Amino acid sequence: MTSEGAVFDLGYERYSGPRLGDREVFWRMVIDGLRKSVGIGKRARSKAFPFALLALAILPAIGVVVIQVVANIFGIPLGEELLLNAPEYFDWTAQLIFFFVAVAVPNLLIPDRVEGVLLVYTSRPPTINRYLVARLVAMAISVGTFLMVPQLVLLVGEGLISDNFFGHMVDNLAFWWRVPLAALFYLAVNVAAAAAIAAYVNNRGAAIAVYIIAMNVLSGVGFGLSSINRFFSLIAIQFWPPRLRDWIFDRPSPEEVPGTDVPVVAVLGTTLAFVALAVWLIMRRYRRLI
Amino acid sequence: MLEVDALHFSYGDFHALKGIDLSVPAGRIGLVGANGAGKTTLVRVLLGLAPADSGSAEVLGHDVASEPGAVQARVGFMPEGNCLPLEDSAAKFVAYAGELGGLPPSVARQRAADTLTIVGIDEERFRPIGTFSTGMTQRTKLAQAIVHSPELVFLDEPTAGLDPKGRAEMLSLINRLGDFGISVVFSTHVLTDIEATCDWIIMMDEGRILRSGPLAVAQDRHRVIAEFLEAAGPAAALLRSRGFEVDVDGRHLAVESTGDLDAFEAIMQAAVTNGLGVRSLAADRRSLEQLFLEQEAAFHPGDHP
Repeated sequence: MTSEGAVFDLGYERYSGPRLGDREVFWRMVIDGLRKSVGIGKRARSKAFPFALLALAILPAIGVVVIQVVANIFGIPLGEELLLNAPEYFDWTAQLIFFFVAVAVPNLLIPDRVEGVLLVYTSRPPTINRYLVARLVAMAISVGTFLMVPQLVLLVGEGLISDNFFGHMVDNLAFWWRVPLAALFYLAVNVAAAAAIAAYVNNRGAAIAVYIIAMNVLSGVGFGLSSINRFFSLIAIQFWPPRLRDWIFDRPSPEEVPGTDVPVVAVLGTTLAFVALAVWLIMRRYRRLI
Repeated sequence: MLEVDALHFSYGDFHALKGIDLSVPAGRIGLVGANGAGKTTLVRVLLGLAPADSGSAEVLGHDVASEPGAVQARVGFMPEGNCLPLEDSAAKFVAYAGELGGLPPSVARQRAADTLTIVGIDEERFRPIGTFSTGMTQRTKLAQAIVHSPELVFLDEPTAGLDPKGRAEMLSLINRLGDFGISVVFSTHVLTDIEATCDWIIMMDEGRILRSGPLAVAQDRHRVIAEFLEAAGPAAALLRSRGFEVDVDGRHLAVESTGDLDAFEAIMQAAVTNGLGVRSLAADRRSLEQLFLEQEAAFHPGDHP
């Protein structure tokens, strides 16, 4: 044993091992986007908001399942109006994802652009298009989680308290394509609007405010003008997803949804045109940056 | 390492690069020129960030236009301006930069720690970058540029905003990059920084190349200055008789080498022959600033009296 020690400066060593391929690097970018969208790796304050919203999104589904369990145990008959079904549940989660998207999308896009980090990303193999698609996929996963997890809790919970779990699942097979499709429209409209605003506004607080104000003002104006001409209801951006959801679930839209008498094809066309416009505006902005 | 042929690039009507031709070997390359000379634009084109209007550029044997990914996988880039996320820690961001450069996550984390240590960021690496001083920010920028083990790194004004101590440390780090097996293209308008670090120089002005070549050759005028203890006249006469161009001023001589004649050897022989004591003998090397001004004057003869 010796009491003497030595410090060796190993210096910089070249790396000659295996490297990630384009696809793996893309998923690293998606994971980075997911972390940033829900505040992982940041202060507790940053995580509190998205996880509180997620809890709020899931709690009613758990509540509905618990109520059914208790009713089953005590043999209490439950009226249909007491239970949430899949399309109605979107009314609740849509409000939550509206606020989640308002905060998460500016957090995901603005700092990278304003702080010049894009230059580091694009000097590496990923292109600006890949960066944007990775950010979009990250948002799709996080918003999709908000929209889909409560629906799954509802479906699986009801299946577990039914007499035949697999029979319940088979009976609700329609769930497996209608819910994701409806969720896709909620996701597309909200994320496209928030991302188009975040692409042009350099302050996160301002981008959040502009998104919230713009969505509400457009919806209010569309709602107000729909009494003059039913097609003015197409301005009411927040009512596009519920209208399309009702079309997907093949059920009439509630009275409070404006433009129920506008052909759904017009709502679908307006939605797709809006998303395409938002994507074009975002690409145009980012092409100029690099 | 760099092969550029008739490269043109414009921002609208403004021609930033006007037909650049270059052939540069691996090493520490200084890219100098005044602000607006086209240095940053050239770096951006070589990185594949800005497509050239015409001409071609190869970096490390890969065509920048047709294989930008192959180039970007083998180079690193330290931009001049802000390029770091202020809310992230240096450890996290440098590791992520490594992943984008193709390192597996566990390797990226380890190399980020090692690289940050090499550039002098130790425990501070877990702090948000927004709390860093200018010197620490510049070091972190350098770390993200080399973490993925590139063969070549482009450094755009790496000493900008640094105090004298920070500048000296950054230049020392740049000198060490050569020991790490990384070639460097060091873009700056500070000529003394190039003199302290580079072995090849590219001089640019108004989108054109004024000169590209080894720094030692560029500075060497084959001119030797001698100071004697006595009047230098007799030595000058002898040197002239041997075919040297000589300027005399009292005890001082300036001798221009011609052809294969060695001025040092000839001055020493002249001193011995004439019984003169030599006080000093040195090559008269031009400073890079003198050289740049000469090249610029040759390029714009009308602008210089």
